[in-house]
Amino acid sequence: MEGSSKSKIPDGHSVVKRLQSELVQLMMSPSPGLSAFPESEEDLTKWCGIITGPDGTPYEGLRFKIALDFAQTYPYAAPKVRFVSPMWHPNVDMSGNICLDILKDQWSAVYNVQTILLSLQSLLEEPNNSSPLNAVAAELWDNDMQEYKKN
Amino acid sequence: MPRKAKLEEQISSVTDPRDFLRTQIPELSDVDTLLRCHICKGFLKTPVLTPCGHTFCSLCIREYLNRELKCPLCLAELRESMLKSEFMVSELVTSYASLRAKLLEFLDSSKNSRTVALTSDTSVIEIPEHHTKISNDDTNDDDDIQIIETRESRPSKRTSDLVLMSHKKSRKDSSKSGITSLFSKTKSPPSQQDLANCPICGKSYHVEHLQRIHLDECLTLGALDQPEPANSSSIAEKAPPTPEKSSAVVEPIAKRSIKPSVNVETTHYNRYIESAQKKNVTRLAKLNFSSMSLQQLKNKLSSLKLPTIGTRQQMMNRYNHYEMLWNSNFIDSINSVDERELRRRLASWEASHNGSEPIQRTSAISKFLNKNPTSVMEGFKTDRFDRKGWMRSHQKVFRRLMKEAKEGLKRSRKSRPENVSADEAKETYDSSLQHNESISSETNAVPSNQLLTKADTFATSSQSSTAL
Repeated sequence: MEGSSKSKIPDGHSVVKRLQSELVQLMMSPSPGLSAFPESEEDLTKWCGIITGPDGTPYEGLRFKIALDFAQTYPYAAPKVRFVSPMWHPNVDMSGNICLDILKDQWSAVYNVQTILLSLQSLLEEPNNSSPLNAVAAELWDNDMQEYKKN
Repeated sequence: MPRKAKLEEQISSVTDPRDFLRTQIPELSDVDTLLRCHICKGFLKTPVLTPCGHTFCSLCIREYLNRELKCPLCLAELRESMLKSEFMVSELVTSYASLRAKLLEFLDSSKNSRTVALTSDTSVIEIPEHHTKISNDDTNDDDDIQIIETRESRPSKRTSDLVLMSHKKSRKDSSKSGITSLFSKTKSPPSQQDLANCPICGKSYHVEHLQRIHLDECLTLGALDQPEPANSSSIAEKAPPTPEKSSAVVEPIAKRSIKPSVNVETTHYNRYIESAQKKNVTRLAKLNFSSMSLQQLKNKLSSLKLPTIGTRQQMMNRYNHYEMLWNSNFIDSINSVDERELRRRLASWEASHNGSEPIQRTSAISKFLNKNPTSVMEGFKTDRFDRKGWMRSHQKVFRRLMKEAKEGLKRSRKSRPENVSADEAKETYDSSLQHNESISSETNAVPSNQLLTKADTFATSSQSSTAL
C-alpha cells in the first residue's frame, strides 16, 4: 500500500506527499490575501507564507512574511509558525513567535497551510488579549487604538 | 521563479480535486474531494468510519489516535476500538481512483470540444470560482455526496449521462462499478431522459426499473460468476470518444452483454459483496507499558516475531506501530496481507522513524544531559528547578551556544544549505530529550528559536547574577 514512495526519505514521504498536495491546492485555488510556497525545492518542509493585513485593522494593506517549519510528524503535529516580518501584536512576541491555540494544543491533523494562514489573518483582526505575549501591545489595543496604530 | 520549474516536476503527479474544474463537469471535483482523507489528503486507503460519522484512512486515523483521542474533524471523543471499516467506501474509492485519469482526460473540455455540443464553454469557465468555495465548505459532510446545480443544469447533466455512457463503451475492459452507479443515480435528471446504465451489465434502463428490479437481478447473476482478478487499471490506454455516439448507444452494449468481460466491471462490486468480516484474526490490544517489565515487553514482541533490540522506548514504538498496522490490516481491510508483509512494512517504517537516535553526535548540551542525572531534567519544568545553579554551571555552554546560533543565522542568510548549526543544536537537544524517558513530549515541541531565546535569557541573567 505504501509502495509508491518516490522520495529520497524512505517513509517520510507521507509528509512530503501531504505538503505536495497542499501546494497544488494553494496553487489551484488561491485565496485572496494569502500565499505560501516552499523556500527551496529540495526541502519541502520549510515554507514561506505571506499574508496581507485585513481591511479595517491597523495592519491594513501591509504584507507580512511568515515562516512555516513542518516536522516529520506533520500533519499529526502542528508546524512551527512564526512571523519573519517584524510584528507588533498582542499575541506575537518580538522574535515573531505566535501564541495561537490551533498551533499549540488545539492542533488537529485536518488543518493545513491555508487554514493556518487564514487564522493568522483573523488573529490580526481580533487579537486574544487575555493571553498576551506582548503585554504593552495588548493594553494599547484595548485602550488606545490611535496610539496603537502608530506602532 | 526558477525554483518553481523543478518543483512542478515533483508535484505533477499530485492529483487535486480542482483538476475537474476545467472539465465539462466541474461538479466532479466535489466527488473527488469527498473521497479523500482529511489527514493525508490522498484518496482514502482502507477507510474507516468514526461514531461521529467521519471517514479517514485506517492508518492515518490510528496514527492520529496514538497522539490524541478525538476526531480530528469534530473533536468528538474517539478510540481506536470505535472505528468501523467501510468496505463500500473502500471499493468506491479504489474504483474511482482507477477511473480518474480517464475521466479527466475524457472530460477535458479543451480536448473534446466535439462532445461539448450541449454545454457552452463559457458556463464551464464561470462555474469554477463559484464552485470552489462550495466544495471547500462541503468537505465536512462526508456521508452524503452533494451535487451542485449549475446554471444550465439540465443540458450539462444530460451531457454527463451521455459522456458516461460513451465513456463506458469505449473501454471494454476496465474495472469499475460503484462510481458509475453513483453517477447514474445522482445525476440522472427526473425528465424524459432518465435512462441510466446498469453498473453491472452496462445496459441502459429506466432509472426506476434499474433501481427496483434490474439491479437485484443483475447482482444475483453477477455474484454467481467468478470474478476475474482486478485488472491493473489500464489508464494509459486512451479512450477515444466515439464520434457516432448517438447511434452507437445500443450496439456495443448488446455485444458486451454477451462477452464474459462483463465480469471485469463487477470486480469491485463483488469484492464488496464478498467482504463479510472474517474475524478469525483477533485485534491486537493496546499495552500498558508502564506496568510491564522489560522482559515482559520483550516476550510480547518475540511472540509476535518482532525484533527485541533497541531501547525500551524503541520497543514500545515498535509495538505501537505494529499494533496499528495489524489492526488496520486484519480488522479494517478487505484483502489483508499476511504477517510477513506486515513485518516488512514495520521494518521499513523503523528505518526512517524509529532508528537509533544520533547520540554519537556530540554537542555540549547532549553531553551535559548524558552526564547529569535525570533528576535535573525532572525539575526542569517545575519550580523546584535550580535556575541559578544551572546558569552558573553551564554559563560557558550557553555563551557558546548563543555564538553558534548567531553565526548559524548569519551563515544561513548568506547560503541556505549551510544552515545547520542552529538546527543541529536543536536536534541534539531533542534527541537527548527523547533519550531521557522522563521528559514528556511537550518539551520537544519548544521551537528552536524559543530555545535560543531561553538560552539567551539564561546567559544574560547569569551574567547579572555573577555581577552581583
